[in-house]
Amino acid sequence: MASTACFMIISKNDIPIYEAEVGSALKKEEAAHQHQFILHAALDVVQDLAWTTSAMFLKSIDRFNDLVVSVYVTAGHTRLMLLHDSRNDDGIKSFFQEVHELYIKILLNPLYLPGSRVTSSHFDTKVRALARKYI
Amino acid sequence: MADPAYSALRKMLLDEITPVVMVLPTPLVEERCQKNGLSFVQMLTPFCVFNNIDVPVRTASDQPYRLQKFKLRMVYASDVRQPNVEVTKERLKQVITDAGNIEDSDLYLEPSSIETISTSSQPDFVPTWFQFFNKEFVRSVSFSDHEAFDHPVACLLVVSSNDKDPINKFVDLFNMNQLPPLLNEGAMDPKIPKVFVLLHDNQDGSSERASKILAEMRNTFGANDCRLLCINSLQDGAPAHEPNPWEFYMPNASPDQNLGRLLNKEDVDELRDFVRDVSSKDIIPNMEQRIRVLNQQVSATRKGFRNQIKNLWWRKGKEDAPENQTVNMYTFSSIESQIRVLGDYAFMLRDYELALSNYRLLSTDYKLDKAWKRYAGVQEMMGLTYFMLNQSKKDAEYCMENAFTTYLRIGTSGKGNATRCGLWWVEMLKATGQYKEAAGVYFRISGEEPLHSAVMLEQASYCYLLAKPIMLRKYGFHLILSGDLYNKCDQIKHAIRAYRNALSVFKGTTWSHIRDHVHFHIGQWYASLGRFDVAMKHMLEIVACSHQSQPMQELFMKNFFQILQKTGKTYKIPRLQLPIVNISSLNIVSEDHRTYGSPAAVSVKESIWQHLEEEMVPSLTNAKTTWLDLQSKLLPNKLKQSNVCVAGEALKVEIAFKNPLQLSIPISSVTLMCEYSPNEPQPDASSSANQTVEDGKTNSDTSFFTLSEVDITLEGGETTLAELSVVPRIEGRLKVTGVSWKLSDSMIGYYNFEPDLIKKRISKGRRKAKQTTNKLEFLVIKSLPRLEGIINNLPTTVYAGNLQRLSLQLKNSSDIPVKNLKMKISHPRFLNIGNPETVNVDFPACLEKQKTSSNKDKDIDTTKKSESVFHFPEDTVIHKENTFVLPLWFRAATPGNVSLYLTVYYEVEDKSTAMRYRTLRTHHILEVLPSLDVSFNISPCPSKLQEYIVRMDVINKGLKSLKLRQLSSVGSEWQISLIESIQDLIPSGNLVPGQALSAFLKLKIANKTETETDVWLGHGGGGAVFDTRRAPLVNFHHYEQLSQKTSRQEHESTVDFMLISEMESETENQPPQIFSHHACHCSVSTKRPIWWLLDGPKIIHYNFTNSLCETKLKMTIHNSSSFPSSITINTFDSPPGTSISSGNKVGWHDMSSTPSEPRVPPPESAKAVVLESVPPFIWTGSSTTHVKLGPNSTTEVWLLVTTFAPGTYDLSNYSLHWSLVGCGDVREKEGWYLEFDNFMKKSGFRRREVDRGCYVKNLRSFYIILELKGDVVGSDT
Amino acid sequence: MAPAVPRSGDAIFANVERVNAELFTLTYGAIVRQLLTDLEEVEEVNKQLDQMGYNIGIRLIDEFLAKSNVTRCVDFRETAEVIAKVGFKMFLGVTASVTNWDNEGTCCSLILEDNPLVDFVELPDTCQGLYYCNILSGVVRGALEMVSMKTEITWIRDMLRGDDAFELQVKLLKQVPEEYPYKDDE
Repeated sequence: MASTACFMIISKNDIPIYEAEVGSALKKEEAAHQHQFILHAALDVVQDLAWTTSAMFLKSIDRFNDLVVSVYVTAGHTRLMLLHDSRNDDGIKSFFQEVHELYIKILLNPLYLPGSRVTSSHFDTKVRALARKYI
Repeated sequence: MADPAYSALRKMLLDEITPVVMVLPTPLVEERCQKNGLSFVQMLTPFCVFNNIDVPVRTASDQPYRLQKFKLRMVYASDVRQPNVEVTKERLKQVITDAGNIEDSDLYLEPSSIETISTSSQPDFVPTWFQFFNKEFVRSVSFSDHEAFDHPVACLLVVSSNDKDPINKFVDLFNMNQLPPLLNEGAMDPKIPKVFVLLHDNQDGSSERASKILAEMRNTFGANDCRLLCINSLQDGAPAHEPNPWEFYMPNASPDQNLGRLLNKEDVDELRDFVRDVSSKDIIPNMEQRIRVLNQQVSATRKGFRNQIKNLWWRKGKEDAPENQTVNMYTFSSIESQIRVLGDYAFMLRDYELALSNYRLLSTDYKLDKAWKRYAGVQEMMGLTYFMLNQSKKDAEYCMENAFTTYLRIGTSGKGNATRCGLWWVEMLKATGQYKEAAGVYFRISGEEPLHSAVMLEQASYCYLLAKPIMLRKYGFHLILSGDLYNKCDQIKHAIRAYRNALSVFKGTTWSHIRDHVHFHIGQWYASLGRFDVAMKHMLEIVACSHQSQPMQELFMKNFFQILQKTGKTYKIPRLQLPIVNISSLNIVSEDHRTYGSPAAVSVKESIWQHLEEEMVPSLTNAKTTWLDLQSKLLPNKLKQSNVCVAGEALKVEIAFKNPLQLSIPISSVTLMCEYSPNEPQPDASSSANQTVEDGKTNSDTSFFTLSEVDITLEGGETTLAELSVVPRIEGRLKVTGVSWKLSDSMIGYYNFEPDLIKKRISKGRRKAKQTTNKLEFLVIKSLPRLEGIINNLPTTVYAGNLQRLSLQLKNSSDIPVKNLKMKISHPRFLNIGNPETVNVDFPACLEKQKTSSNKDKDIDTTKKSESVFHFPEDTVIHKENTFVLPLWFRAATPGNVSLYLTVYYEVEDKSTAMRYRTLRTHHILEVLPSLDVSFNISPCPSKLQEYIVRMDVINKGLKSLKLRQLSSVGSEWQISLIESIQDLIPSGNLVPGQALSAFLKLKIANKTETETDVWLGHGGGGAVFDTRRAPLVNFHHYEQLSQKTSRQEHESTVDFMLISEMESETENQPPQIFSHHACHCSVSTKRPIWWLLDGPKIIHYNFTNSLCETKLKMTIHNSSSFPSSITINTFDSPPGTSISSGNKVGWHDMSSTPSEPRVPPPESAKAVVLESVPPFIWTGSSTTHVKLGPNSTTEVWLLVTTFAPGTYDLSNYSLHWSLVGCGDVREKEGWYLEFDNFMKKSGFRRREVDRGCYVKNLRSFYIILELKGDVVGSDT
Repeated sequence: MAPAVPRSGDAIFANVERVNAELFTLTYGAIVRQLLTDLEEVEEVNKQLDQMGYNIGIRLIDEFLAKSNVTRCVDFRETAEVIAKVGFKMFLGVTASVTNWDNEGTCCSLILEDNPLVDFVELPDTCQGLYYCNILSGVVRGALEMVSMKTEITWIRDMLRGDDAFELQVKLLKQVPEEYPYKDDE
């Protein structure tokens, strides 16, 4: 389990639609915005890389001090971003894949407006469980 | 080679890495120069830069080329040493602070939008002081001993012509051991070319002495190393140096000391020529010479294969030499430092190939020796040389990186150099447009020294901005980082600038934490600078920080309110997000012709009211027209549809406020904002608007309307519904424009209602669905009377069946009387109207039976027109301050939650008003608990016709014990009587909760003369019996009947019961509460259409001696069906099967065994004589009898039986055939048919398949064939 | 003479035209979503769905009777059985179970363990109170009305509201007698 891990889902137009602090370390106040800053900045890098490669999982594309950003770009250019300080890439990869599954389910929900916030508590619990499992 | 200064880096290198000339003046010289406000070096500096000094140079390999640009660095010998760290740090800090103050001016302008930035070219927005800062930074690490380009190439010895014995001065100037450490420690060659300068001040007199000394110098130091320099030939100031060459180099010199005061044109020219000569005639040739010499040495020792081998072997030889002796292992004489010097000189003379080759050579050596600092330095130079040579970018960058990392590796001592190297590297990358990488390098430069890192990060951010594709988010992020660092070393202004630029990226971002962070800090910093208005602008962005954690929210709010109160001015913020106004909850209650008694009544569906009022009010449409065409006379047409409210009556508005935060916020003086405009002439919105905004703010009681004000405290996350009201004073048009509240005393938030929005909501919402106009506009009409109505002491929870007397009070507040009142009650079963006479009669005594049934008819007729409206007596006119009281009878009919609706319709006296009538609607909810559960079971009496046994089952399901009082059969056609007294069923008269009781009564059709319809169940003697034929009991019973109506009750004769019980009320000397329970339509019809009874004398005493005994038996046959029936009775003489069984007399009766059977003592069982059986009897008389029997009629047939001996006889062998005539096919639909069928099946008959009209049953001692015949069956009877 | 009713619709289901389940689900979802946007009140949407279902039902019943050779049921119990076992299977691909009969046999519950309509669906807070599958109740109501049974159908349980199954209470209000239009004798 990573001591800090901040997971966010960024919609196509760069709006965060889901965010969760899934780290084991008890989160500090300033951590919240710092993580957001890092991830937000990392979007620039994603923007470059996303079109160069066909792979969905872009591992550790950006780093800040000891924090690494890994991204999973879905076909709809929704970005699942994870800020982590742990190193098991395949764990993160499978985490992304499973979350992607969940996200697709959410997307298929006709009552869910694409690009709007993901408020489903079920989704939230699932994601946290996955984080505990993989990261 | 292109213009060497085509990139920033080149420019930088060309004036950083240039030959250094060490200057050693005498104090007198300085003093002379200071007349001009200049030191000697300063005086010369402007002329050390040559743009086209045209000096021919030849490379080591004798290639001639001409040096165009050239620069000298004049440095005092005392300055030729590594500058002190602290000092430099201070200086840099100073630089930054100055820059900050310069920026101060535009700090408060709106940050330029990111588009313009990204399009504009670099210098527009990158602060100019960065270059300066970088230069300073590079300077701070100069004169290190590991690199030679800072080593002086020449030495300038200056002596004033006034010095006495100048020659010796020259000598001991150089010999004085104030020489820089570089020379003393032997890092460089101490014997450097010297230039002896004699400075002559023309104010000291003519130059003969000077020239004399010069001559003297010439023959001591050699001819061409001596110079004469004359200055201060101007007598007094005010020269015109246009432009003043010194200002550029001394920016912080105040203009009053005008520089070069005493230098006239000639002096300046002389200075220029002097420096030019020195450089071109002495320095450059010397360097060239040196290069040549060194080159030969190097090539002699190192070039060539043999030397390589030797070198390697030799180095291996001193492999084992300890590391730390590298400190001084390279004296100037050592080959390495010579190579280094060679390289640097070559570099400075732009002979880059030479420099490069030497650097290459050197770097391997240093590497082998693990002399890392020097290695790094060489790598650095290699990188630069590659760059200058404009070849192999990759190599250049590789070298720079190599150098950078190496510098970092050797720890603190290398830090400064690392930074310098980094800066050059960055410039290199910038030059080739790799801004992203440049930013990365900047990021790496930023060390632990916060201030410097801040600057570096900021530069990095600008690099991101220049990167292609532009990387705005990185830009913002790094700006934020540097801003934080600036803030850490309290450079607030820089911090703000950084953040403000970042804001152009993060403006309107949906990344909540980012937005909060930026705005919060900027706000704080502006506040700390005292710019509260700007601070406020930012703080407002973060008031609704619901996503933040509680401590953060508290922090935000604390700062917010601090700044707010510091600003000291009041803000009016539209759509302030704290608290959030839930507009969908907006609910406006206006009372036009409908007035509501209670808020509960408001929320009732309009349809219910309309249904209730439809026959009272003049039908809605024409009611509308009545007051609308009245309006149309005095109103513009467009107002026709607008809602109506009455002057002086409150217009209630409910709206929900939601607190997004987790902490409680008090909001005060929540009030509506309204606009008033008179009807005619056409209202001008503007004037009314601003006039009423005043009202909206200060709740001043204007003549137009008054607003209510409430203060709420919203707990964390809670939503509260604020109930506001506005009371229009005079006629006109009132418009509710919005709601406003005070977050603190100086922060006013308001929210404007959009009409269309509201329309949508409300028109979909409950009331006013049919009105399609703007829900916020109200037509204020002149004040009307308004009835207040309350039902006195209406209980909220009662037990079912409880009967109470209430009273309705109607009050009229205005002085216009109202008349012509009507009332309608939704549940007459629960509530109906007593007649006004019985107001003062005491309850429940009024229920008791009087002999004189005087006003019965009145009550009856109230029951008759029960469904319709109750009209108040015509003469009732309710004036001001007299209340009209109307008695009401209340009875809790059924358990459960009941809501009673009650509307009162009344008309207004004067016809002038817009509305002629109004209605008062009241709504009462009450909970009815179950109490007694009464059920009746009627079965025909076995022994007698027309008599029934009634079993009454009473269960007390309530929580209190009840006392039974009376049971009555309503109406006059049945009379009831107890079979056994109630006392021995319940010795204590009252039923405790949960107790069940069943009593048996006898019920018979009353004969007309006297009817005993009431049974006193009460304890002890007969109390006053209530009259069930008078109001209110009879009325309630009427409704009970209606409500308990069942489907097929018309077929049967039914009886209604009313059980009256009472409960001791909690308080003493209070009459007990009366309960009445009604059971209606208890059917007395038997299961069979025909039934009969064979009866005769039970005991006959007869003397058998003379003759046989004949006994007359009477068979009574009753046809309770609605069809005529024909009946045949057959008697058989010989009973099938000898059958005597005493005691079993069931056969005498019909076989439907009522559960009351065991209780009813069979008439015979009194004397059960047991005798041995005897020969059977014979029937005498006609053996078959035919009877026709009409519907619902009874007949009697006489049968005669003859017995021969005493005994007990079972006269059970007869058969009775009956058939209903003409019930035919309708039989199928007959209610009784099915029942008959079921009944037969139940009592063991089986249906014969052959003839479906016939039932057969075998009893033990009894054989009866009942044949059911009808025309359908077509039997021949 | 009890009619030979196919006790399960599998046979029929086997040879009816199929459509991709997700397409079906999403199509229905799109309808509901559109309704929600058009008439912003959840109650309205419920009504509308029911009405649509009704219109489907009154057409569907003929199709149903034609395809599945169901002869007429003797009583309401049988009807309910047929709906649950044959009808649902035939059109929805799932079978419901019939339970909770009241004693006079006019009210029962159809219980759907799984319901293809609600795959992926999760009710957001904004549309609590929405009966997502309200169209089903409408269908049943309409179909039964065509065979002269006035019914009242209410949702007892709803998986979208956290229950463990879908329970649809069918209450027979009145049975309109189909009278033979001619006289017996001639």
